[in-house]
Amino acid sequence: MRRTILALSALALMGGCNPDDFGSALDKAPVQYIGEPSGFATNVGRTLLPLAPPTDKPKVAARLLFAGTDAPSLAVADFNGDGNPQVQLASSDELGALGLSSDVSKNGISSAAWLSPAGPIILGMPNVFPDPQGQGTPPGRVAFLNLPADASGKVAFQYARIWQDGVSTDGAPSTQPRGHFGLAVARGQVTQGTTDEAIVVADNGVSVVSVTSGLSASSTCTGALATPPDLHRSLAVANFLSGGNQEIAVGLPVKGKAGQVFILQYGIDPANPTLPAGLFCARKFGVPNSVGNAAVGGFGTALAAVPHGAGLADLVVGAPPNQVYLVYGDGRTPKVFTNKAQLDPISRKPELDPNTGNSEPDNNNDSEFGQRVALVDIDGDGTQELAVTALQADVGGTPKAGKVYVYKLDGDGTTPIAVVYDSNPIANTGYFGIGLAELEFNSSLACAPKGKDAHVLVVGDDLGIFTFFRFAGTLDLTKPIASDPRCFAQ
Amino acid sequence: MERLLKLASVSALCLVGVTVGSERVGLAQEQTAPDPALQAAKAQFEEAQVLYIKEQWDEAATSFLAAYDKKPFSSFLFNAAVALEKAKKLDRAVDMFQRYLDKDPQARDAADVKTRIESLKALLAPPPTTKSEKVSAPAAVLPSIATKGLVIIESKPTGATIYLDDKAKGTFATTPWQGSLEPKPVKLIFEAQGFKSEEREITPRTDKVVELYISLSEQHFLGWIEVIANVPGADVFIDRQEIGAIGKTPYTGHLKPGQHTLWVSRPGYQTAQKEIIVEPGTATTHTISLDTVAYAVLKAGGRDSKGARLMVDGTLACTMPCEHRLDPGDHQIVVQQEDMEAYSGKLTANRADETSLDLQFSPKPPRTKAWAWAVASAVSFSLAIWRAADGMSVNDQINNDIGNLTKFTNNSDSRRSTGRWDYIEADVLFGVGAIAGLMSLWNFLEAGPPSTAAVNTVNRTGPDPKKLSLVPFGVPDGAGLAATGRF
Repeated sequence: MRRTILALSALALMGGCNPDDFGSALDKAPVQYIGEPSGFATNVGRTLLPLAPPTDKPKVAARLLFAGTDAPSLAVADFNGDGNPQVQLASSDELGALGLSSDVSKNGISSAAWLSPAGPIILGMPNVFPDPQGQGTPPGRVAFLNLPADASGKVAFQYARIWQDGVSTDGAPSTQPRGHFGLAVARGQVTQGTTDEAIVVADNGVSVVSVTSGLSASSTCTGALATPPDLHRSLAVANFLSGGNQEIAVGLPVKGKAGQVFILQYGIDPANPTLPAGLFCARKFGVPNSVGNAAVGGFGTALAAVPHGAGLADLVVGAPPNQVYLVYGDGRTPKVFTNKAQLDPISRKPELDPNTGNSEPDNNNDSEFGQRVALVDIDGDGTQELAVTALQADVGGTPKAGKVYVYKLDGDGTTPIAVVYDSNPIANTGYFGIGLAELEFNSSLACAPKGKDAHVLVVGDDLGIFTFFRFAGTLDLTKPIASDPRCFAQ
Repeated sequence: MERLLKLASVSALCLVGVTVGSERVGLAQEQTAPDPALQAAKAQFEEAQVLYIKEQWDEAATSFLAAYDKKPFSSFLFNAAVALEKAKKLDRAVDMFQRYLDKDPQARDAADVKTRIESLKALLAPPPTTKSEKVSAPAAVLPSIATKGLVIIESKPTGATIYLDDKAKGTFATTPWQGSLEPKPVKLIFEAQGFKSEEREITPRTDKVVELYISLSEQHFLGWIEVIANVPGADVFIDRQEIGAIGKTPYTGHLKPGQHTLWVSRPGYQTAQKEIIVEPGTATTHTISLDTVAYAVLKAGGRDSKGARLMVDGTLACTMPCEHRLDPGDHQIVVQQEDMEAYSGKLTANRADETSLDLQFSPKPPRTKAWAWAVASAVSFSLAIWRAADGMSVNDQINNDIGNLTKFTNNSDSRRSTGRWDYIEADVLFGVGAIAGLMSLWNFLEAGPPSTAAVNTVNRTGPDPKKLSLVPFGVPDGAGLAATGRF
């Protein structure tokens, strides 16, 4: 009471209560949220692209590009200072230059990747055009974007090149494939070995696109890949097979049937040696027999490559509604992650939030566990952990709000070390975890041992983006969760 | 001198009435109605005297006692005793003489009566039984005795001193008096303080009741005085100031003889007091010199001024309406009246100034608005504190949650908005409270139009400012009156 009276007296003397106090306090909150940026509709946090941390910042800094899937919108969140995100939106002129003017299409960017840390950025826009040929399917575009920043850190969304349906809008020759060009994009060294290339997924195939010369290769197993998937395509590029170049893993989940993952390799198809070199289907697989041969329709919904230096990369395959598989490149028996019966013994359950009762993951089969997967080194030990989205998981009493489970891949492999969720969960339509990314901070400049950057988990939902600087829970861990990279938490 | 003669001519009338026997002798200015009992006693007395003369002693004694029953004069008992002695009824005579003494122990003849009682008792004693006793006890010889008359003396005023024949003999009695006097001419001298002495000669009789009533006249010669002052028009008071002035200087008039106190006063002057002695039938002139007062007088009044506080030079002078003396010089005048704006002004006072201050008060503005603002301020501050406390609670919760590793508090926490609004509401309410407080203070301090006063100063040493002089004047075509005055 005395404290209150003294505080109120001081407030009165100082001119009242400062509403910014709450902002100041919440700037230090363990989770920073970017909510409902101007111009965005739904699916705000679906397309996330961590950029290279700016080196010109003295303190905690990172940049995250995110795009609106359902509306022409594009933005960069610039984390600087104390790690609070400052959002810079692309102007309508800049969006127009990318072919995202609102009078052309109400759709936005569905995928993004960068060719190099400094750019250009690959933006997949599969729905930006109405169907020009009456086929009922938008042709789609892929745009290349540069993001130069001035001395103040302000970036410019600078048009570099646009490829539409494999045809350059400035006169390059038409190529295959067609329809929803840009469903997924990735960077890889597929055809040239040491040259970064843009890998673009469309309805009926996968292409390799050069910024300057356009399409350089397309998938040749078109028949298999032309099967319309029920879910959005997933894409991962890594050295999955023996050979000098990287291979392309693309997922084809089919609802009600057996989802598959195709490994595309560039070269002459051994099965059709007369054809010119292209992206032939080197391998395809569903649920590995070693862990069960039941058909999983969601198998391949999400993919993430786990590179191992000189060795073959492992592949994480999301198979909703309730499974994720870790397929080892060295042929070991795949590891299966589920959100069911994988938390025993009870003593290792995370004690997360006594208020919400989120003491354990959902056990229901319809939590859409595996809709998204990502690799994030949240504990800073140099080895990435696996983040898995259960898009329809309940959060406390809020149904189908969504959760993200984090697993240590070098642990026993099946027990989550953390579960994150929205502290203000939205029932049914929150879609927490619809986007996952690892954001790298150059906190080493000020707050961490020099030369060691920090990585944090970024989770998107339908209306915004969460940046988890700290993880809740008193976890029984062999290694501690990474400390908050922001200075005030050190 | 004419006034003196006139005074003498109106001197009081002295009326004296003397009744001898059954008739009043002379006139009385204020006679009371005849006393029926006295009249009956007198008649019975005269009847007893007739019987006594006829030497019908027993009947005479009985008649004297009957007269006594009607009016218990002691003389009636004496006469009855004499009649009984004449009738040789000595034992009854002794008893009756004794009753006489009991009735009037201070009787002038009390000693003689006692001697006679002893003598009568000796006669009544049994004869001596031895020769020696017979020789040594000669027979008693009683002196002759006769009945008494009755003299009744009353006067106005009562208590007058009665002298017989000569005042040098000393006081005989005071009125009223009744008794017997020797049946020979006697001069009665009456004196009473403040009244003129009177003398009457009467001849008492043993067979009559003499009734004398005398009304003394007040001393009736007044003195004449003339009072003159150096200031005409000054009020003249005699003996009692509280009954008001009897006139103004120059004053002339009659006064009763004796010592009197004379006051002469006029505003602006110090009141003069003088003790004077008025001799009957004299004329005296008294000259009074009035000195100017060494102060000024402030008369404060006006509508709604009752109970107002008159402050002179910061000190409470009096409660209005009132007068206050001021020392000559400059003064700061302040008048405070409840619920009214104070009056403030300066006044320069000179000796003998009389300044009237007629206040016109201006009411203070009502404090209703001030109180309303004060209540609004208090309510606003209370609400502000309430909202601020809520906001602080939210802030504490946020900080606690941020520090709690088990919670994913994010920067878009809905409590940010809640807390901000709490603080904004608190700020607004603090602001409203402060404004309302200032308004309240302003309304409390707000003053209405200042109270005013009509100030009129007159120096009382000058001519009467309201006196109007009419001066006749003539012109070739007629005449008229010119009015001059000082206002």
